[in-house]
Order: sequence, then C-alpha cells, then structure tokens
Amino acid sequence: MDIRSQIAMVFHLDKCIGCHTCSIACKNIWTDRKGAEYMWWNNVETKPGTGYPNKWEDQSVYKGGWAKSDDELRLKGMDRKSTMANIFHNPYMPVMDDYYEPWTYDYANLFEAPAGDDQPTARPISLVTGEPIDIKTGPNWDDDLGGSPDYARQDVNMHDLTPAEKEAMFQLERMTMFYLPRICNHCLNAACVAACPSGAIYKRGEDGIVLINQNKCRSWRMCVSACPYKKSYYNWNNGKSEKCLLCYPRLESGQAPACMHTCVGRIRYLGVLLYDADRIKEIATCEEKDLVAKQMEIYLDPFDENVRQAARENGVAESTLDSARKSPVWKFVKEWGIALPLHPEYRTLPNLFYVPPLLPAIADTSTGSYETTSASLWGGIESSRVPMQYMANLFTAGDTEKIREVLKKLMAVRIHRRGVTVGDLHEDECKQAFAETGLTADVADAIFRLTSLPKFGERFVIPAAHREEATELLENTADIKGNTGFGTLNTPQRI
Amino acid sequence: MVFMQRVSMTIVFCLLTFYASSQDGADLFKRTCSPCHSIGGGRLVGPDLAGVTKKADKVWLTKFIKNSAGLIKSGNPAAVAIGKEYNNLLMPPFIGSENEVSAIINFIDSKGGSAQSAAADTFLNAASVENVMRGKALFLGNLPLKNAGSSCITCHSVHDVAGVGGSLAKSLNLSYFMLKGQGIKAMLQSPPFPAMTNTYAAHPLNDQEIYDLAAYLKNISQTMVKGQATRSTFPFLLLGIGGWCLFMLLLFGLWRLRKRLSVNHVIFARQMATEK
Repeated sequence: MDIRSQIAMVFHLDKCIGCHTCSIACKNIWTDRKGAEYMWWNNVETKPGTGYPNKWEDQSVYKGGWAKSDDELRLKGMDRKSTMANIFHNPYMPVMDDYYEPWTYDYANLFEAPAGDDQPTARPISLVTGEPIDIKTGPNWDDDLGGSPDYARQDVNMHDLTPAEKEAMFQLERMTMFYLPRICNHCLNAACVAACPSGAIYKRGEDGIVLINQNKCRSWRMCVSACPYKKSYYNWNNGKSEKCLLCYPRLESGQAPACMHTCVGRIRYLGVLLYDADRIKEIATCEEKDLVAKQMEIYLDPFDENVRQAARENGVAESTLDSARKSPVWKFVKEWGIALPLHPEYRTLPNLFYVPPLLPAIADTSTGSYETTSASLWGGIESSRVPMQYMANLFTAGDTEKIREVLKKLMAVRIHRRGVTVGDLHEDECKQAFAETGLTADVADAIFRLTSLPKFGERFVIPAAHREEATELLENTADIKGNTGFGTLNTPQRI
Repeated sequence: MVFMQRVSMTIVFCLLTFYASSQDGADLFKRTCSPCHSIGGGRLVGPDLAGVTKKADKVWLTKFIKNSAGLIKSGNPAAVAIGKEYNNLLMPPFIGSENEVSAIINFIDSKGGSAQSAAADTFLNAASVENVMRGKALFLGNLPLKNAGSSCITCHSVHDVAGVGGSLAKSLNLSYFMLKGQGIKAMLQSPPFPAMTNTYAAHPLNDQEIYDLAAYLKNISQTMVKGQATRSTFPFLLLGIGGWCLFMLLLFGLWRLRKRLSVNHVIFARQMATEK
C-alpha cells in the first residue's frame, strides 16, 4: 500500500445553469495574458455538442489518453520512439482553427472615427496577428445548442446510439441540453505527465495537483496532444505549455479555487480522497467495463484505522486525514455512489466527478397536443430526453446499467423529499424507490442537504497545505534560518 | 611646471614610439613577410626585397602591402607587372596599422643591399617515400601533430583524397609550384594568413612535421601536373537532390496518418458556401 492524498472534485450537473461565471473568474485570474487568450482552463460546454477545443472527445483525431494493449498501457498518440521521431512535428496536435483565433474589438474607432455618414463600428481585431479578421468561431460557439447541425449533431458521444435515438434527440419537442463544466481532472494516471519529453510535468506529492514546471518546459507540446481532455494549452507567446493549476496558491491559503468560489449554482465540491498509488497500473489496465467500478476501489476509506495508519506512515499529514473524513467528494463518490468520472475509457483515472443530470422526460405528442403529464410526477428515468446510452458514453464508458443505477438514486432522493415536503406521493412509491436503490431516508436526506443547502465549509473542505513540510523535502531550512528568510527565487535588483 | 611635465612626457613618448617601431620592423618582417620574402637572400615565393625601397616610393609600397589585389585591379602598371611575373599569386593583405607598415618599410630600407636571383631550392632534395607517406598521414590527421595542432584536411583539400578535404581554405594541389620547398617550409613555420596564424600560434609544427608535409605537398603537386590526379567523379549534387527527394518521401510515408485539417473545416466550408 502506498497511500497518498488527492484533492478531488465533484460537479453536480443538475445544478449547473451554464452561466460561465467560473470561466470568467478563471480567465481574470490566470489566462488574461498575451498568448493565453485562447486558453480556457475552465470552460462550460453544452451537451450535446462538440465542446472546446472542437471535438476534443474524438480520439481517432487527437489520439489523446491511454490505450490498453495486452496487459500493458501505452499512450494512444505516442511512445518513446514516435515521440523522438515526431519531436519537431507532433502529428495529432490541435491547430488554431480547432480552438479559435482570439480577438478583441477596435473600440478606439468608436471615439476617434472622423465624422461621416455612417455610425462608426468596432471591427474585430485578431489578438494573434493584430489584423482585422472575420470571426469564424469562438470558444463557446455552440452554447445552448447554437448551430446544432454543425455542433450538436457532430457530438462524438452519440456513437452507440440507434438512428432512432439520435433522431429523437433533435426533434423540437424532445430537444434538450445540459451543461458540462470542465477543468483539468488532475488525473491519477495523467497522460500529459507520461508524454512530456522534458519531464516538466509532475503531480504534486502532497495533494496530487498536476503542474507544468515553466522552467523545464521546452515547448514540445506532447502534453497538448496526449491529454484526452485537451486541458493543456500551449502559450504561443512565451513558448511554454500551461494548464489548470487548481488555484494552488488559493488552496494553500485555505481558499477555494476561483471557479468553485464564484460558482453561482454552487455545483462544485472539493475535498480530499485517499488512494492507493500501488494499484494505479492494475486499475488503469483493467477491462473497459470494469473501469468505473475499479476506479472507485482505488479510493480508500478515511474512517478505516488501517488506512489512516498506512497513510500516516507514508507521510500524509494528520490534518489531511481529518479533512478526508469530512470530504464532500468522499460522500458523493464513495459513500453514496452518485458521482462518476468523465470518460473513464481514457484510462487516466480522472479526479473530477460528475453527478449526472436528471433531465426532463419526453413529452407525448400522439394526441396532437404537447402532453407532458406522465404516470409518475417526473416521468421515468427511461423516458429521459437524453438517451441512457448517451449518458453512459459520457460517464461510464458505455455501461448503461451503471448510469441507470446512479440516476435511480437521484430520482429516489427527489421522490423522498417530495414525500417529506409536499406529501402528495403514495408511500409505496417512495418505498419502492428506496428498495430499488438501497437508499434509506437518512441517506436521502443527507444527499438532499449536501446538494441543496450546503454551507461554504461543507462544499470545500480544504486541508492545510503544510508547505513547510514540502519545502523541507527540497532544502534544509535550518541552513538558511536566521539569514534571509526562506530565500527568494529571484534576487531583488539593487540600484 | 605642468608645461615642463607635459613636454618631458611627450619627448619620452616619442622616443618610446621610435624605439618600439624600429623594434617592430624586424619582428613584424619576421612574422609576416619572411615566409615568402628574403632581404638579399634570393627569391622565395615572392621577390627578394633588398633594395626595393630604392626602386619604388614609400607611398606605392604602403599601398601594395596593405592591399596588393586592389592595386593590381586598379590597373597600376607596376603592380600588374609584378602580378604577372608571379603568376597572379596574390600577396595576402597586411592587417595592421599605417605605423606598422612604415616600420616594415624602414626595416627593409635599413638593411640595404640588392636583390639576388633565386637560390637553388634544395630543401626537399633528400625527401623519401617515407616522408611522403608520413606527410600524408599528418595531412589527413591519421597521425596527430605533436603540438596538438589541427590537421591540414580540416580546412584544405588535395586531389588524392577528393571529396573529403575542407573547403574553408585553398586547395593545395599546386602548392609546390607556387611556393617551392622553401616557401612551404616558411609558410608552415610562421603562417602569414590570419586564420592559420591563430590556429597554429599555440600549436606550432616541429621541423620533422614540416619536412614531411612539404614532401607530401610536393608529391601532390607533381602527380597533379603529370595528370595522375584522381579527380572526384562522385555526383554530390545528384546525391543531394536524390537524398532530399527520398527524405520528403519518407516524411510523407511516416506522417501519412497525421491530422491534416482542422476538425472545423467542414463547418467553415459550409459557412463559406452559404455566404456565397
């Protein structure tokens, strides 16, 4: 056992309203710089849709993530030899058109244009070339099903749907969408780390945040194509790759990451999970159908004294263990089992989990009118407007049983709470829902509480960072004690 | 007081300069001129310079020393005549100050005497086949130079190792006929060309090495003239073009599966079509 701590996250998709406040908060803090304009470390995608960069899920194009061959794991896009051979020309790299050409507007023209017959306009100006451009696409061009034939119908996750199911998704009375906010998954088996020829990417020991060392990065951009989630971006201005750093400077001072702090729908949860690093290879190489279940096994019970003792021996701080017990992520992912990883089939073991959305049921149009009433209050899960297979392709590598189980639990909580607060449902209905899912009234209430009424401190359980211990791994602090503080990266300029 | 100080300092300075320049003349001549010229010792590579200051005026000499090629090109009759006499073997331009040039001319002037005809070149009379073989090994670098100088082939080429020699400096195929044994010896003892001077300043050749190399170069020049030179017939240009084509084909093959277009190209194409 090699027990380590990982900062993990849960996004509750039923609560996401698609307001992009998270993206803006992130952009304002981190990527509002030349060369980083096109980077959206946090972005919110409309599903069905092709996301950002376009069709990022289509690994037949981008070759991101891992592939299993026999019992070994290899990167889909590269191995040592092909990395060497392609080091000056990475063949699967996204190009600017796969993202978009960042632009601003010529606002000054509105004030400075000479008097004329027409109103002056602010033309779009490329932030790359500085020349006026015709905007072709943007980071969120398919928001709210905008341009559906171009985007939603091209969604990669519809690959196993029957033609009838596919068609049904785009009929007006059945049309639906939900939002999928994405940040870096800070994977346990990160493909970007494995792909970097310079060894510049690393997973922080104390909390598992995946970072790119800006001094070591040599801009080979292998991480850009290796990351199946396309969350490593290349800064064309300074020639280094950059990615979400989970706002580690905020975490170290006990604050929630900016995207989570600002979340209007309060969909985001963050906390510690303990995992057994010895099992990563075994789990990442298991059969595709077992991936989700196996990944859940890697996270260990923070209440188990054996686990705690092994963690302590491995250098996990006591305060981290305490915080692991209060972790909302532990509850969603393991205790209640209602949060699932995004695209587990990439085999990176992502640490960002999603509570799938309970979408509206299909309306009945057979009578000629738009009839939404159904036998039960919300309609069955089976009659959800988004086919079960689609959800399964997103969250369970195609396993519809697993996603059905989760959605049933969510529905059981709804039925139970409706019974408690309104009382208009038959008691049997609630009992049946509990029997099918194995939930109890107490658990359902706890899920309801953490979903609907959580306090700030319940959503974000951030362990103390213990930077002092991390520093001691690298240098003997006694050597410089009493001299110049803990040292500086760059010595101040004296005049 | 200050005035007196200044005067005395000026006098000292002038004396020192004079002394230094007269010293420089002999030294400079030895370093930069003696490989090709003697004063009263007969013609080497270039003319015997004894009495040259009586034949030509100082201004012309300075011009010629500083840039003989330019002077010949400008059509100066005296310069053109000298060039013809020496098979248009150009004298490398002197890199230095006006003072140094005049120091050299003064030095030549002070020696006096008159030019002698070419002395018999007996330097390589005793050269044997072993000398030639050793010279070749030294030239190619198979045998290292004692003082760790770079081997000749780094910059020079000769006909019997065609295609391998360096192209940074002149081909030495006809060096013997231009310089004769004495000239080669003098060149190797204190090379007058700036690049060669720097290269061998800290790594001088010893006498044996000079002799072997000179013997080899003589052999090269003779075989060249007798038409025994093995000319390089290897088609380097064709090889280059062929290699480039092969490389491009290889790239095409290796990257045939690469991502050629943006994933959005269908969308953009449709939009462009709609706009029309």
